[in-house]
Formats: sequence, structure tokens, C-alpha cells
Amino acid sequence: MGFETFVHDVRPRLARAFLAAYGVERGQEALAEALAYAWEHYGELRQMENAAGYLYRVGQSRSRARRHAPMLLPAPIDIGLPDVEPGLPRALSALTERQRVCVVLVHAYGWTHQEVADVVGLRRSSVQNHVERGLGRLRAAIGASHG
Amino acid sequence: MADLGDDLRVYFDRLVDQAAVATGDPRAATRPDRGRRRASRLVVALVVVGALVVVVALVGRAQLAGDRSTPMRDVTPPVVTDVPVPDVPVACGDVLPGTPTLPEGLVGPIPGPAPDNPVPPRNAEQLVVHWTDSVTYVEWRWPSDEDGFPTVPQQPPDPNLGMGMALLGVQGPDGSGRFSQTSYYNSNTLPPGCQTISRRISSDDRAVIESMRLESIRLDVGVATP
Repeated sequence: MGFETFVHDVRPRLARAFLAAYGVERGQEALAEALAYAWEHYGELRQMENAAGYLYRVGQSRSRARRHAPMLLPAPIDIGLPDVEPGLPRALSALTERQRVCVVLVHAYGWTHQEVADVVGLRRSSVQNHVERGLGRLRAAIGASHG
Repeated sequence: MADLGDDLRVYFDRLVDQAAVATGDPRAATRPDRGRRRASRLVVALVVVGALVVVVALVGRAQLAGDRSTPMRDVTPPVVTDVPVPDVPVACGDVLPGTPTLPEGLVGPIPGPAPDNPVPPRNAEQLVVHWTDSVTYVEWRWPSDEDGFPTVPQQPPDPNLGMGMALLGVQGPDGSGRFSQTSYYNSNTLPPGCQTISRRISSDDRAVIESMRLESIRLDVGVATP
């Protein structure tokens, strides 16, 4: 597999995971760092069974300097999505990082719990717990914003 | 729930599209940024060096002036104190001084620290490499980090390896649910400044670390050292 094919395969998965975990600013930085690392170390990555999971951790650690920055999720209307629930960014921000990334990957993109576990580096049972708790909190927050 | 799932997908698809534009080609996108960072670090370093040169020159001139104005002043012999030797970076080598014994299936050596190790390399001269199967990492540092080996109980060198070894307990889980364990090795067959080596194993499974820690994952310098 060539590098372009590799990036084509891995990039959308990493982008979704990083943006769900960290929001726009740190998420983009984590993605850029992970892909730059992939370019530098493609020889080793191509031998790995779970290169996406490895790169997720690379992006996570290399963007650590921004870990105290507030999570930035824009209002839907500001990115041209007036029909999307306006309370969504605030409700997502209230979740833990793991709850957020698990809920988004499972419920927005239909990933299996095992697929999420592989990329994010959690056990499958942990992913299930995070999804259940995160979804409950998300529903409650959005329901409350309508109440 | 379908509505919430749809909203999430539409919302994150838009963010992903924007991120694709923002991050661009990985072969080029982050390079200029790093170049700028390096350039700015270089400018700061040059300014600091320039300032030091000016200070040294001024101090030298002041001393010369003082010597001329007080030719008979008392000369006090310098006081000898136990000043610690500064930590001068030592380049021990481009490869480890032996062959690490590793479990099957690990890829490496990959230059740089394991992605889950928050401790950066000690300096540019320290050799840091790791092996991984993308879940478990085995990282070696030569020489070890300066606050490592001296603080742990040292064991007598293994007569077969010519090395002493100290195993620390398993740490964790950290905030990401990871466990880690560090071992330190020393050998008087290696050059001064390069006699300590560290190995850090990390994984999301404590049992994996325990098994690897107790297995003979070792650096076989007895064979490879000239």
C-alpha cells in the first residue's frame, strides 16, 4: 500500500476521532501531527496491524501542549448548519473526552465498539460503558435545553 | 435517537471537511510550521548567545579597569567547592549497544519516544527508540534519563550480562488507562556517561506488562559489545 492510499484510508477515521475528542483547534493539530508522523515513519507503520490506533496516540501526545485549552466546538449555525440542534456543541462539551469520542464514532458514524476500541486504545467493554453513559448525558442535556 | 445520530454525523462531517482543508497534505502541511518553530528557536538562541557575549565582554573590560586602578589589591585564592559536574550531553551511539530481546510481533526500532510516554528525550544526544504492536510499547533510552538509575536500588551485575538491573513496579493506570513499567540497566563495560540504559514497557493491559517484565526482555550487551 502506498502512502497516499494509506492516508486516504486512515485520515477520515483519525479526523473524526480527534475532532470528537478535542474539538476543532486541538483536533486539527493532533491530526496534522499524526499525519506528519505517518509520513516520517511510514516504513514502520506499514508493518503494524493497527496503525490508526498507533497514530491516534501519536496525535494525542504531540498535541498535549494544548490540553488545557478550552474545547472549541462551533455553533452549528456558524458553520452553515441551521437545521442541526443548536444545543449540541454545549452538550458535547459537557461529556468526558472518552464519552464524547465513543458516542460520536458509534452513533454518528456507525463504528462497532471494537473499531472504536482499536483506534482509541480502550477495551470493548469500556467503549460500551462510555457510549451508554455519554448518550444518557447527551440526551438529558439536549432535553433540558428544550425544556 | 436517529435525529441525534443524524445531527452528530452532519455536524462532524462538516468539521472533518474543514479539518481536511486546514491540515492539507501531511507531507507539506506541518513542515513549514515546524520550520517556523525551529527558526524562532534559533533566533532566540542567537539572541541569548549574543547577549552572553556582550556580558562577558563588559565584565572583562570592568575587570581590566579594576586591575589597572588597584594594582596592589589582595589576591584571594579561589575557594574550591564541590560544584557538581554539569550534565554534558553525551552521544552514546546511533544504535543500542546490544540486541534487545523482544516478544514476537513488535515493530521497530522506531526513532523517538513511545507516543504514550510524556517524558521527552533528555537531550538531542540521547538515543530513544521504541518497538510496538500499536497497543504495547517497549522503549529504550541510552543513556537513561538523569533522574533514573541513581535513585533505584542497584543490584550486582549479572555475571552473564555484565550488567546490573533494577526493576521498578508497574505504574498506572494513567489518565488514558495505560500502565507502564521501567527498568534500569548499568554496565561498566560501556563508556563513561553511557553506562546506564532504561527500558519502559507500556500497555493498556497490566497483565501484558507483568508477563513481559518477568520474561527475559533484556539487552544482550554481553554478545554485541565489542
